[in-house]
Amino acid sequence: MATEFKLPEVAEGVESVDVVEVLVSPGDTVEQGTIILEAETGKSVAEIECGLAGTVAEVLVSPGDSIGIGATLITVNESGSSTPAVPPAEPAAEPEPAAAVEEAAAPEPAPAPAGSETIDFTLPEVAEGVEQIDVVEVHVSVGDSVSVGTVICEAETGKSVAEIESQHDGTITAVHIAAGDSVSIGSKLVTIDAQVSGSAPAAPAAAAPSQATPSPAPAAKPAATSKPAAPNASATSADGRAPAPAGPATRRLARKLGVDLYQVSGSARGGRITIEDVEAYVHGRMTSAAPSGGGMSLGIAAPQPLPDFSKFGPVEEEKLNKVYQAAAANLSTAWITIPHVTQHNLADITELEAARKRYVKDNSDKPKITMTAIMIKAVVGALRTFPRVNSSIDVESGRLILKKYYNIGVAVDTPNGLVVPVIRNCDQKNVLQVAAELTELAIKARDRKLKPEDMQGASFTITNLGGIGGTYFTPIVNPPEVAILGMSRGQKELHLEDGKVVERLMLPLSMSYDHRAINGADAARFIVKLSGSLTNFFELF
Amino acid sequence: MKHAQLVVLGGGPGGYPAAFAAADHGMNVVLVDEGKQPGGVCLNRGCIPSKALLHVAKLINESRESAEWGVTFQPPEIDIDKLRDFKNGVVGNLCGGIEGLCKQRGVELIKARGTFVDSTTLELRSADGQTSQLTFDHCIVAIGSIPTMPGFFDIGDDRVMDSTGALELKDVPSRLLVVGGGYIGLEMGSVYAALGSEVTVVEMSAGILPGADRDLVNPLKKVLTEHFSAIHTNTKVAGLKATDEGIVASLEGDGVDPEMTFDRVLISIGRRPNSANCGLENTSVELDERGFIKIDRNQRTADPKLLAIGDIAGEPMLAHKATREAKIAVETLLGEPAEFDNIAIPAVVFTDPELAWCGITENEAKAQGIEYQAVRFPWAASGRAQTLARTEGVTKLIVEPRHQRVLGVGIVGPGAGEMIAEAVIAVEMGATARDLADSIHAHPTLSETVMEAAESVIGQPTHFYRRKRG
Repeated sequence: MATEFKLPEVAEGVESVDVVEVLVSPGDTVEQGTIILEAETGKSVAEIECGLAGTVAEVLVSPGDSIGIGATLITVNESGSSTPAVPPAEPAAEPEPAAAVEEAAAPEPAPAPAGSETIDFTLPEVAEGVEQIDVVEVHVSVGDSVSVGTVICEAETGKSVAEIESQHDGTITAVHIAAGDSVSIGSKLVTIDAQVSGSAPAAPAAAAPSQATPSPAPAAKPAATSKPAAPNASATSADGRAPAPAGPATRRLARKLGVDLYQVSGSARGGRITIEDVEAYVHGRMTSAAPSGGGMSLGIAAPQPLPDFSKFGPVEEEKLNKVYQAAAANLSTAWITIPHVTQHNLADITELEAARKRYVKDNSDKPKITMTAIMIKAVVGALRTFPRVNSSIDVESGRLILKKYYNIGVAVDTPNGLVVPVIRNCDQKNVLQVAAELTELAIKARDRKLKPEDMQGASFTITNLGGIGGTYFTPIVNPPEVAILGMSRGQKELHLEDGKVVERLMLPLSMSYDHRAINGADAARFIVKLSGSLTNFFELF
Repeated sequence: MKHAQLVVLGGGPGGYPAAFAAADHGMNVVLVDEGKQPGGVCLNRGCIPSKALLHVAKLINESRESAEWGVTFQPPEIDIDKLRDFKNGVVGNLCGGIEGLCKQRGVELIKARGTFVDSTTLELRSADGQTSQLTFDHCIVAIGSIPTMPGFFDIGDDRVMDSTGALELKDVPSRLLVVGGGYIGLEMGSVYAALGSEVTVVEMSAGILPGADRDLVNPLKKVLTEHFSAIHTNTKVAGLKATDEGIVASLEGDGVDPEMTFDRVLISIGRRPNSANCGLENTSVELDERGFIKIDRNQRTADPKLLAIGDIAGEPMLAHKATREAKIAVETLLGEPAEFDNIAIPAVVFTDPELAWCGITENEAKAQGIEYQAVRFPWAASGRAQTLARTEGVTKLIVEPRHQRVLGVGIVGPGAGEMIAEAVIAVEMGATARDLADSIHAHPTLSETVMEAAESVIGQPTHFYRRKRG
């Protein structure tokens, strides 16, 4: 039953208005507040808002009419009454401007047999902070049936390989990705002709019989047609964020200087970023960063363009995978933002190594105890004594966050790059448990089966180059941690002991630390304590 | 064999600006275009000739409307040959101008069709069938788009035309069917309606200009409903048949005659990239599923020697987008920090009233879940609009509520296409509603509606009072 909507009071003293424009017609969906007409009241123009929600049944006024307060303007089939609810008209009626006819038509009136529907399966969120993946391998092809949990593809995220699983049952009708593609969250991976359990097809039987298939009905427009519709006016920003509020000239300057405009606060009205703001930001970064080696590049300047090396000799190019790229970005940030100091020491591990070898030999059925596993336990002991080394620094708020847990990251060199899996709660595990877990994580790392959560939450990192050689090196702190321990190859040295020459096995240790969190004396105390515990290793138990 | 540092393939509004910019930066440039005269679709068969005709159409309509203001003209006498000459003259002037500018800048213009032999070689075939080869360090591919003409419409009868045919203005058909209610169909439909044709528009979707804001489309639809004999939405053309009587169209839709006869039919259902038959398969360029060349934000393709700009490089297929991309492509070659980071690409529909918008539309904001505030300022409250007796216009702003930054602007009304320039600057510069409201706009002009719309964001505009709710 249609309800009448009458002209409400427009303004004080106004008893009638002249209709200038009628903005709705029968069949339109209106809400409370939808403007249904424009009217002239003596001197001004007023918009008349609808007080009802529903579908316009009749329009009883037209432009030029003079109408009095209380006159019926339109009748509305109110939503919620017996008339079928009309879905919000706009989204259904208007395909997205840029979309091809095919895309616009595909999602809704499924051109598939009853009981199925076409679903574009898009890349779901893979892990926190991961916005893009590289497709390593596609596991399905057109015609395959899939069910919930079927692996669609293997993908590389910054640090790990993830398997993307289908969330639908059905048959693959199109594959939109190939190995090597970079895909963002929300991008189409495959189209699935999905089985819908039970109910009848939800699609309105309206238009478009089989628009996706080009052959039959002559009326169907070919898929490749771009709708002349209306030219698309909007450009989206690269990553879907709202554009930074800055004019083209400012944006260009920011690109030139390598400035991320989202980091710059704008001084103009409403936070708009001016050229001066960009200059001030760069100036601020140059002067506030710690004096370091006189280099001008403090992470804000774009890297210098590379020369054409082929002028000098033959070259070959290799694309850096995501692991390398992520590591490169993290290492630069760490190097630029953390004032590093590296403290070296030699730990006498003669007896420890002998005991370790003996134990390993006699217990071949137990997990193999490595020097790294022992070092994890030794580090936990030293961290308990020097809690500041097991912390993170919040420079913004001027706080040091001391951690009551001992999660140790272990850098693992793999053919695909450096990864750092984490062994959790090392204080609650004995050295055998640690050793077992270490072996397991190393295998996972080499097979690229580590999950992002396997690599999160470390409070201290160990990197062991002893298997390769070298004496000392200066590892880079893995933020937000404040210290990292580097192990090199143990070497035999001759020492004088009570006037006698003895052979000792010495392990070179290098601990880099964030000087803002740890002062030099504490770092030295830490490494001395650590070395001592390896020599007098009963402290470890 | 001839060699150039840079070859620009295609002389349209993407290609010739690219060639000019590169030459201005000291590059050795050859511009290859297959047309009789450079300028591409835009100058020869698109924007320019259609606007010449739309100008005349507006004049004819106004000469009728003026009767209401006490000035009555005789019905116009239309000399179709002279009108065609005017249009061709405009095109000739502009295209000739481009040839002149090529000479002044030292850009060599070769009139030939170029086909890629490999990533650094083009085979050139001139109109007289002569072929030669041209090698290059880099090539900017600007080969544009062509009207979509599905096979079942292409019945081999020249009474069925695409936009190119419609612009040739062979005659004024008494009954014209326009298939496709997009901007091309509505613009050409308007021209023929003013010249005296009975125009019927058939659109497959639920409304004309799908994708455009309904607040803007509705006033246009009202005017077009008066000028056209019918606009059938949700209607499909199932087939066309050539008879002596005319072209018989089978129509499928509610309340539409299933068969109607027309003297001419304009197919304007879209344009598609011109990527076939030009040897792109001999390069490492990658195409998307619709045939557009895939590019990055620097206009680079998957082939390190080739860049692509304009319609061939993706939506929106608009001349001014191509021209901007041309500059970026050249700067990319020069190692400058250019990037297609534009936020607002204006779209203009040159009907009467004109529709223009830029930045985000209300529907896009809704779909993307962006918080926004939309305000409309009706032109009935504009003094200038009243003096023109054109009060149907609306100026609409989409702003971000926190800073009231202008995210999008839509305008319908005479002159909207010119007015949108201010909006583009506002969106691109990150202007706020107050920036627009506090800038002085000349009185009495239609541009004041932008200022007053901005005032509605902040409070109340001067010439319009919106009752406060509650």
